[in-house]
Amino acid sequence: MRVAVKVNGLTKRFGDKTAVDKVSFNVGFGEVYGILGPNGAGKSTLISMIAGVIEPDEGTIEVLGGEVRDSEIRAKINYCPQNPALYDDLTGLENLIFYSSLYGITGRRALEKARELIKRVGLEGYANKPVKIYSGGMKKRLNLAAALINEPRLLILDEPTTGMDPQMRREVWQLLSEIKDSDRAIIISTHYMDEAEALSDRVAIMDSGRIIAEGKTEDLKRSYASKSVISIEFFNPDDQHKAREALCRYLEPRDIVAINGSIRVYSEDPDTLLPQISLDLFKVGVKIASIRVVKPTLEDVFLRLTGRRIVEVEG
Amino acid sequence: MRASAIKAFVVKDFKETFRDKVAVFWMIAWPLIWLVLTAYIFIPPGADRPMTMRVGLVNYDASPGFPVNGSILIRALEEAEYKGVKLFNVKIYENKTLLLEDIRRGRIDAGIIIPENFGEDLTLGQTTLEVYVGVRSIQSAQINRYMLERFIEEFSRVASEKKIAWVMKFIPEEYVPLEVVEGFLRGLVKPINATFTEVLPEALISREAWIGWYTIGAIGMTMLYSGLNIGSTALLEEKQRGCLHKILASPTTPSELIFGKILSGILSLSITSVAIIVFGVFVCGAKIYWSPLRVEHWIAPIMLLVLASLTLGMGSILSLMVKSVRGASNLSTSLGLMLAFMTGIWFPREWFPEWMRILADYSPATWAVDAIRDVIIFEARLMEVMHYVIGAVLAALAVLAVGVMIHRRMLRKYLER
Repeated sequence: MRVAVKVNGLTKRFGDKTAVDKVSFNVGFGEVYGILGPNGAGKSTLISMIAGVIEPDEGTIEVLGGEVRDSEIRAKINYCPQNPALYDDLTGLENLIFYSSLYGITGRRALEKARELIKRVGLEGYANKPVKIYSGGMKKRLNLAAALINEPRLLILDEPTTGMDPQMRREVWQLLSEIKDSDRAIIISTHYMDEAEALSDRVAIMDSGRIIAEGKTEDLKRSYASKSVISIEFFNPDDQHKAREALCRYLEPRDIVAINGSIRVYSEDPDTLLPQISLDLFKVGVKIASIRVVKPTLEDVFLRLTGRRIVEVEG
Repeated sequence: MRASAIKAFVVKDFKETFRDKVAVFWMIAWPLIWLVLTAYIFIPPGADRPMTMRVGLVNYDASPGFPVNGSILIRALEEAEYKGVKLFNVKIYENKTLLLEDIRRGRIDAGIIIPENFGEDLTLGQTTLEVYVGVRSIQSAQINRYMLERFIEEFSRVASEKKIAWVMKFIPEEYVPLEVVEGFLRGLVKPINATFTEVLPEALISREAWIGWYTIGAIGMTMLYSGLNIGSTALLEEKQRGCLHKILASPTTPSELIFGKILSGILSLSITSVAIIVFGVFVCGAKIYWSPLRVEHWIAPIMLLVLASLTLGMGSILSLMVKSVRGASNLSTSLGLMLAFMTGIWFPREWFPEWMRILADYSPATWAVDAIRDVIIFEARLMEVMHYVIGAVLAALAVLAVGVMIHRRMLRKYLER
């Protein structure tokens, strides 16, 4: 694998708080690297350091074989911030032309590139309208187009679909899968597990500034979750504790995770375990609303590693 | 530094500024409103003409046979002119009571009672006049009294000339030659024959030139608050919008960003200045004379650039004290207007108390504005304004350098945060 980004021992502190703590990883060309974690995990700080917008306190970052603050290197990367970095009084086209000029793309070339990208993100009808009339989703799409203006070899996306409706998110995923290229590396931070799973070749799961797990999604699930998950929901959420006590009599406590009034049991043999659980819970008087076997997700990986849900931490 | 990046900021900021209704109001509409108010309310058409005073007269004199008398006084009042304008609008009253009634009601500014035997007493010796001045305000009373005093003094002199001519007929020439007697008598009437010539700057006498003075004042005022505003919000605005992050992730260097911001500010302020001058000249009738062939007239555009740089630099310094764009805008608008009013940019410094004149004397923005006024209104020569020019240029360079350092520090801190 040709390495596009090499991060080694990266640390950033804000006062007493360590936002990013000794983070190391590599990203190769042709790879989409997802950074998954709840809000406040340090994803944006990490992304900003890779984009060269924040200087690390410790550690090194090598981007495209050079130093990220080198303007020649920065001409080959682009960064898409979480909140659209756009000028409301300019049109969509003018916004793209402005950003292209920052990368030395000017005149007819800039106009053609801007038009092409506007079309690509489905905003042709709004190209000459001021951004202030755009909806939130349209702004997000234009923001993404602005990040592609210089055809970057390293594209850094900070929560690109936050705030979008499911339909729009899928459209952005589609666009990102289209721009995936063997000569381009993409780093994407997200707190949506489905997004990380759908887009990333490899995922780093972050919590409290550290990478707590890293690898291909299937490998992570295999390593940190299990073959299957038995998901149990109760009519009375208070039964959760009684059920957990009952199950702990014959299951490892680390295989039982109680969240939001439901329980997830990690098992390699769900076919045998499911009837037994149903019977045992019936015996202790717990009324089950639903019990089903599901495939583990990255959420389960995070749950097993931290005991918390990603979205829980958000609130 | 890459020209494409700098140009990108200039074009972007320019479009943004002139598409923002609030910015257009403050940068174009507000100074034009002030100019219109000044041109049509504070200096209305005719404001540069001499004032005409309404004077009431009661003539009890019945001595028409004498060389000077009440009727001649009334005619002299009616005919008195200054620069082609009648100085007195005369109204004759039947009696003193009616005259005083009209003064009290403000229908006339002053009244004169010409006593009985006025002509006879004046010809043969001395006479009296009762003069009543209405006091609607202390200033108007002061002006009216002065005008009448000057008129009576002049009429006394003319009367004395006529008296001399009349009395000469009765003096025998045996002992002293008549021309010696006449010369002596004329010397009694007016021992010193001083001549007064007005040497006010030609341009400033007219209303049009005053409006020209205020047009330059409007540019100075707008530059102060807009320059402070643009300078103080240049980076804050990018930061608050979330665009600074993306700009700094691009190959744009802090120098390109700062230089682009300064240039866009200068361009916006220059366009504002041109708009104000065009409006001042073509709508308000300002008299501003500028010729590219006259070297000293180039001081005007240079000083406009200096003023723009100075205010942008001051704005950058101001950004140290503010946390938000709204805070910066409010502070810069208040401070800019206050400075414009207190440092001789909008109001003439002659109106100020002594301590405020010191502010005007040491304000580099006022130096730049005064240099422009001096060359294009008072037609000053290059060397006459050189002290203002040098002072303003040095101050602008120093302030702008400090402003750039502050912006650079702000960007460095942003990266290190």
